[in-house]
Amino acid sequence: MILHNDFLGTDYFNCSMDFIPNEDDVEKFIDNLNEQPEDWHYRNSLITYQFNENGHRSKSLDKLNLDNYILYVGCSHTVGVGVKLEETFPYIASQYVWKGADYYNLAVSGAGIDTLEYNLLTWFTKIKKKPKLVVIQWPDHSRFIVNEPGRREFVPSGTWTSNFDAQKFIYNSEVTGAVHGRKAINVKLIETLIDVPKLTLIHEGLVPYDSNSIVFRTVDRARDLKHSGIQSHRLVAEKIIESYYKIYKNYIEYL
Amino acid sequence: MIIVNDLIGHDLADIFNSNGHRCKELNKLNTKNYILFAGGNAGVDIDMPIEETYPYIISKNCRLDYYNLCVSSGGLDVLRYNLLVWYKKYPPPKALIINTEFLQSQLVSDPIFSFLKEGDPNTEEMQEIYKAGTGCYYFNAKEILTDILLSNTIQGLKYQIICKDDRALLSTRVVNIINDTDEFNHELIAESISQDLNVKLKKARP
Repeated sequence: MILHNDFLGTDYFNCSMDFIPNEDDVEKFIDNLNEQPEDWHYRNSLITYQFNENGHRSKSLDKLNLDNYILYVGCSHTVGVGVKLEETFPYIASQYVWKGADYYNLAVSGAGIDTLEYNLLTWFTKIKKKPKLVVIQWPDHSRFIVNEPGRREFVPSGTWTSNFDAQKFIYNSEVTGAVHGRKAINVKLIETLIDVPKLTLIHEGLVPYDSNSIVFRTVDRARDLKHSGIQSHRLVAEKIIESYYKIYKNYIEYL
Repeated sequence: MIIVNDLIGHDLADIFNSNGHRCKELNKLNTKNYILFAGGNAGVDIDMPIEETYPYIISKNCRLDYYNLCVSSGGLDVLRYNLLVWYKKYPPPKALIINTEFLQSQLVSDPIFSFLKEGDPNTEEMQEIYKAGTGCYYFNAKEILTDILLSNTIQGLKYQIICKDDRALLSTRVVNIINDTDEFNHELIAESISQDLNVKLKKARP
């Protein structure tokens, strides 16, 4: 991750690419072509990732309809790694939550609660027109980002990290309850400062952040065979629309 | 620790107001003319009479009211939380004065956030968090992002008291006051900030 205009975004910005190195990368795709069945959906389905000036898989900020938009924030699930833009849940849900809603996707792959909270608060500090709805996808709470002094990259860390200090930090944060202390503050800060309607999502099996999050499951796999696939995204979108209807009484028929 | 009026404070005790802060009640604050303090233990110092603490002395020297958001062992999490909430909810102060003491301090809670308290710094596990968090550059990332977030949120005069063995937090548009002795000298710190603040406030007045 790199800072672009004070936002944490992917290392790639103002660009279009067919694969994302180390995530949905071309080498893995070639392996999968050999291993997957002949009718594997992604065999002939081209995915284009377009990252804007902030390193987000979203339209440019100056093209966003600031009078009528939804803001999404989360990790790679919300970025939609491994599926086409039109197949991601932010894209689908925004078409149907209410008429004419635009959206911005602040999500960054590998994000923990620190990245998520930082981007969200920065948005509300810098963008004067507030979204009509914020959709927050809580990440695995053990994730965090690190920055080696003098370097511009912010590197996501988590249970996958081989760094011994990072592992000790994660382990001792769990043992002492420090991870919950940090989470409590993150959640309270978001609750207090983000004064617009919110919906929260969490992947099944993760330790919850609040009692009313929408729990979603991965029912199929994306091109990288790791992230949520097309059907999973559709289900998340449906749950967002359904919850929006239940809570905010503003429903437009979902196809 | 307690959360009252969305602010984090100490558990209730005679020396604290109803928000758990060592100053007057929030509803008695002159929000048009005040200085805001935030940070860790140096700004609370329960062993000193309040009249000898730097927030009180600076406020008296500058003839401005003050509110003291400092929380002992709150670390960067409480400093950042309290300041962001304050600037969202209340009129901005004439000046902000923070101390950057023990930013690594950790709060602990349980999965349902039923309590919030300081993590015991004397346990081996907590020492490992400080050490490993520094070693893997967790604290460095957190400080950089907090610096940007606070700089984007907070305009106006800012002072930063940096105690011995501690690091600066804010990197731009801030006056650094260094306390490089083992003992925290409230009077000296207060004198140094009051002088500069009085000059700047005088210039700002029409």
